[in-house]
Amino acid sequence: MSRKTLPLKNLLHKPLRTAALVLIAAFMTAALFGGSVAAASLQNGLESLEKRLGADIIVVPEEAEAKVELENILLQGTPGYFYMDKSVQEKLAAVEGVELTSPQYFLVSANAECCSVQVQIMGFDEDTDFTIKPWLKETYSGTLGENEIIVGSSLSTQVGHTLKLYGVECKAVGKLDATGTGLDTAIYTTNDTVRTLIRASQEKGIGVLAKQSPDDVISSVYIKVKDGYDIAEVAGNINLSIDGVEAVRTRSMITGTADRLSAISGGINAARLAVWVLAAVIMTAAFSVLAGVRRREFAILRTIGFSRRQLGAEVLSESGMICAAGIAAGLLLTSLTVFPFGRLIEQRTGLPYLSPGLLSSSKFALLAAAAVLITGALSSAYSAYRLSRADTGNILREGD
Amino acid sequence: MLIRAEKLGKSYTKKGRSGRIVRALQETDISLESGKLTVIFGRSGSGKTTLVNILSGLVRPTEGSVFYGDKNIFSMNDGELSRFRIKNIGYIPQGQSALSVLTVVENVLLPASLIGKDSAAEAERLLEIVGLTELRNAYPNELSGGELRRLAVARALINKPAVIFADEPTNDLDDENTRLVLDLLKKTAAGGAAVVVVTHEQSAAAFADVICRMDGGVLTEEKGCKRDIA
Repeated sequence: MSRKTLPLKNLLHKPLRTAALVLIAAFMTAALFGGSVAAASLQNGLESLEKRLGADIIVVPEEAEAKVELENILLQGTPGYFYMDKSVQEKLAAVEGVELTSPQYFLVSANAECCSVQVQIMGFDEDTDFTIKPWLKETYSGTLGENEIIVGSSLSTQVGHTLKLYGVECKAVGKLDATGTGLDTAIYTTNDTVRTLIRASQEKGIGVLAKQSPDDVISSVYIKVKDGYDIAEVAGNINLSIDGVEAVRTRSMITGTADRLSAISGGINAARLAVWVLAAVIMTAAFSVLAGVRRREFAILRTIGFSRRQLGAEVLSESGMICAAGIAAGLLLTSLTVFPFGRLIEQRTGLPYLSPGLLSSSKFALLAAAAVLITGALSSAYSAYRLSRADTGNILREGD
Repeated sequence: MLIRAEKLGKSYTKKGRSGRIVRALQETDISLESGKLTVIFGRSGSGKTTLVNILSGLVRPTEGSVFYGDKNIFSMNDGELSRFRIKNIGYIPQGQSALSVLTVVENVLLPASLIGKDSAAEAERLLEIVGLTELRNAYPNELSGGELRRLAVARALINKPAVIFADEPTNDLDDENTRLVLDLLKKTAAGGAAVVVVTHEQSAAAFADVICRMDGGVLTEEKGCKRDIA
């Protein structure tokens, strides 16, 4: 028999009461931890998106905006394509304030050809690219050869395996880290390989280009503006000076996403605060009621020789155990819901969603655990104080 | 160990609108000797429970002091007093006082665990003395009133205290259990402890070495009751 086992025995003796309190603590942990992870995932997603874009301006054919939701293709990897004459790149390079230009090719895989759904194929120019290559380098440092591809993190294809695209065997030489966006389901390769695929599609009679040769077109041009130039001004100049194209500021593309993310993050924070306050009130009320119910029990402990400090420690130990169990349950619950369903959350919200890494997640878990433990301790502190100060003699007399 | 109380007084404010101040104990002196069973008789509300609560260090008096040997127990802080109480004082409270979450043997061992003492053998010995060996693993809700009272006696004795206070230890017990409990306390006194029993059970007089009587918060002398401080 050890005094230290008494709080545990007390909790086990009233399983329903204990379970209810553990549930409250678990709910609070899940709200705090889950909310932190969700908010961070959305923030990570946005940052990843900004990083991924890497360009100040993206130039696309004028009709692209009408044909597809431009933002969806560029930011979410929604399958789609459009083309313009490749001479546009030279014209853009001549515009004042333009520092770098790099063309990209978009193509969509044929239905059910390689994957369970159509995927976006994005071609980039090995020599001039400054947006995709830095990202690819994190997982693949070599130079992409003919018919070699790099797959997004959400595709099931593994490195070394081949994918058949328009009948062409393409070898996966790398797999990207997750971005938390639809770009995770895209395939990345060189412009040359995309041209090969377009030609193959034409041979199969499912060509995406009716009149032009794939060698004469590009889908978009990514532009980096020189330091000291106003990006909006450069974009405006492009729109004025080059016919048939539209220059879009990347920052303006993600403004809507950032605004929605900010609103959702605000909602998450408000929900977190509400749950925390509610749980704190319920726990305080519960401990207070229990303090009233257990007055005689604590008076008996006092007659046995428990000091006021030991009585307080008894209450705080019980509260600590309840919170610890609630924290474990809450963290488990969150881990089983928020992390595995990140992709679903991304699809449902239409927002980039990139779960934080182990270190950040551990930090959030620790902070949530600390918040719940402190709340539990504070909720029970008053009860502990009341019980330890109660008049033992009076309580014992009341009981008879 | 000689225990002596000097000019003890206890007043408290009654709960409720009246806020009346009640004098539960008035200028009470008493001394208790080792090896003797002192019985304090008194009607309900006479102040006898207040007196033992103060003598046992459980309740602080409004006036006066309690000395165990040369030590004034109310000069200690709560932690020191609690440690002193656990080592030197056994207390049997009124009514059912077993902790329902602990078995019989765990209840008996609880005071020893507070000072980190391994008293398993002593607990078994006490359980045998109080006739609860077979119920050692039972929970309090499985015990009768008499068994619960005997359990409280065993728990009070586990740390071999120098003084035992028992508040109405035979309340609601049948004759046989009353005799059993009083006999146990008498034997404890015979073993060298100072035992104080507060009761209105007149049959306790037969076991007493010293008899005192409380009335209106005032202690009156009877058989050997030492009101005067030596």
